[in-house]
Parts: sequence; structure tokens; C-alpha cells
Amino acid sequence: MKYFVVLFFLLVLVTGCYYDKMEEVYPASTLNQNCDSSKIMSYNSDIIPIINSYCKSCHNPSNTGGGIDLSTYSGVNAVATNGKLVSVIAWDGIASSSQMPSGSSSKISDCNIAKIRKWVNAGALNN
Amino acid sequence: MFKKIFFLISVLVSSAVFAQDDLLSLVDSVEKPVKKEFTTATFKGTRIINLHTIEVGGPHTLDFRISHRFGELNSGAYNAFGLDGSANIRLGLEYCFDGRLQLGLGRSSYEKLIDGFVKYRLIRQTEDNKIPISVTLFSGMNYTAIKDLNVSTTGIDKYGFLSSRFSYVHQIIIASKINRNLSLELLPIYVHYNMVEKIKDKNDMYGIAFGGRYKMTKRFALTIEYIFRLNKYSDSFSTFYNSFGLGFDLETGGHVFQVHFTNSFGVDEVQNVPYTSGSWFKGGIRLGFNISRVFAIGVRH
Repeated sequence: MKYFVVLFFLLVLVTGCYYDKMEEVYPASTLNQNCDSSKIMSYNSDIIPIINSYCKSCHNPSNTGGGIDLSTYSGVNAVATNGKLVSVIAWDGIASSSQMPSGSSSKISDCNIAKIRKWVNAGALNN
Repeated sequence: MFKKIFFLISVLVSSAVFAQDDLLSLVDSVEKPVKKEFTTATFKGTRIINLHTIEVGGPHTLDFRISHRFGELNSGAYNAFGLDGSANIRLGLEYCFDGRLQLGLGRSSYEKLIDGFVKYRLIRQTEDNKIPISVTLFSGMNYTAIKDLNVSTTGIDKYGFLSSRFSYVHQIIIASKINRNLSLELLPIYVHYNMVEKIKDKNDMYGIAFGGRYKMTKRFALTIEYIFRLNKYSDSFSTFYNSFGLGFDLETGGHVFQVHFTNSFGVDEVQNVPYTSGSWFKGGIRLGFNISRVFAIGVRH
């Protein structure tokens, strides 16, 4: 049992030497602190403005990129529920390997991604 | 640096004392020296309220512990002043090998904290007070199994690395049985978290704690404890408070019942020392109890 005690101290020494700060290890987490994604996300007041700014130019009735029309709730809801909406804006390659906005060198802001993600997780409701 | 020195001392001291034990048993077999009378029952059990005492139990004993903390008094009458409210429960098993070395394992529902520790009675007080104090070394390693609930909104898992779930506590418990009724103890405590939140937060927290027990009758004692935080480990330092508790012990046969009021929700030092969020002045105190049952296990002489 004495060996167990020495082993315990060695384990503590080896595993206990981290001095991590969450904001340094995950810098993106700091951006969300000024993002008001704490309230319930509404399709009309939170999601439509984001879609209008970044997506509508390619995904509308007269110009349906990839066959996807995001000008109506049903169009947005379809890609929300099959997981593609979150995947393409987060660039995580899970439900789709596409990276949106197409041709952009960077994602839309982490705050907007967080808002859309939260709305989708709550059921992608027409609220 | 301080931490590394502390570790080195703990390991060296522990291993040094083991060697001492072997030598002593050799001496005993050759001649019978005058037996030192060690002070017994400095405290009735291994905890005052949340703080550890110098006691580790008798040889070959298993201590089963249940600790319960209710909600806060200031949650109002509708919440039965905390009795209905959120509760923290810790279940633990602590085994003492030879009356000096104890290993413990437990799990708290608050933050789903699994704690393991090693406790060693280094110096024992003697009846003739040639050695006036008892010293026990304590080292604990804790693991929080809780999931980061913010993952669905931020996409970031706070516990992405396994190491981020670990926290540690090391303390030196120094106690003295002043007389038949009064026992006091002093504990320098060092807490380390592998992961803290903000860049300016510190991973190391230092504290000094004080505990006391006053026996009123053979079975009834009053208890008190206070943890004073020594360093400013976060900008939100003032939103947390020093842990303070008052209570009483009831001993019956093999059970010790401890009932108390404390402002700490957690039972473990890594939660109490830095992150006690209740204040005694604002009614942020809670009723709690500890039950301890000791079983004799193993070799019978």
C-alpha cells in the first residue's frame, strides 16, 4: 500500500501541472460574451436578419444556389432540421462539407453562428 | 515553484516515515521500550463540518460517510428555507489500514465531483504532552464528471481536454487536544485547478483554516470551522466568501451524527475554499448533516 501512496503522488505530479485558462485555450469563447444569445432565439427577429445579410443573395427564388431557397421559413427549416444549416456555417464538415458563405475566406461571426445553432437546437420554430 | 517544493516535501516525508516504521519494529522485537501513551480521540471523527481532522480511524476500519447539504435559508418560506431547494449529497468510503494511513473515495452530486485522497498521521500527540500536537498530511485529487451545458450555444466544450476536469487539494492538518473537552486545529490549504475560466484567474488558491470542537457531554459536542482565503485568485474574488460553519456532533455507538449550518454548498475543499457563494450576512447559509458509520474489516487479532 505504501507503493500505492507513492504512485498517487506521482500521478498528482504528472497530471496536476496544467495552468489552463479557458479563454486562452478556447479564444472563441470570449466573443460570445458580448453576444446576446442567452435569450430564446426567434426566427423573425434573430434568424431572418442573419439570413438576409449573408445568405439571401445566393439563396432566393430567382437564384437558388444548390437548389436551396432561404427566403421562406420552410426553406430555412428544411436545412435546419437535416443539420446542414449549422454544419455549413460552422464549417465542421459533419452534415455537409460545404463552407458558407460560399467563396468567403472566413465564417460569419461566432455570435451569429451561436444564435443560429441555439435556434436550431430549440426546434427551429417559426417564432 | 511553491507547489513543486510542497510535493517534494510530502513525498520525501511520507517515504521517510515508512522507513522509520520498519526500524522501530526491529527495536521492539529486541527490547521492550517504555510505551508512549498517544492521545486518543482528539476529535470524534474524520471531519469537523467540511474540514478534515487529524483523525484517520482505527486499524482496519472502513468509514461510510453520507454528507447532505440543503438549499439556502434566504430562499424563503415557500422553499421551506432551503429544505426543498437544491441539495448536494456526498457518499464516501474511507479505509484506514494501520491507524495511520487512510485512503478515501467519494462522490458529490454538486458538479458530479469524484474525490480521492490519501491521509497520513505523521505526528501523534502524546498524553504527557512531550509532543503537544498531532500532524496529519492530506493529499486529494478530484475529477468533475459534469458536462459543459454551454456546448449547444457556443459550440465550445469547456472540458475538451481530460486534464481540465481535474483539481487538487493538499493540506497539513495540525491539531491539539487542549483538554478533555476542547480540541483545536489549524490547516494551511493549497488548492489547484487545472483549468480556470478567465485569463486573469489564477489556478492556485491558498487558504488557512481553523477548526474547533468543544465537548459538552460524553456524546454531545459543539463544532466550529472557518476557512480564510489568502490570495486573490480571480477578479470575482469578492463575489465569493470565506467558508464558515457552526454545528454540533452527536455520537451513538458506531455512528457519529453531525448537524450544522454552513455557507458552503460543496463538501470538498476544492469547492469550499475558492467558490463558496453564500454569505452569512445575507442568509446564504444552509442546514447540513454528516453521518458516519465505522465498520471493522479485515484481520482480527
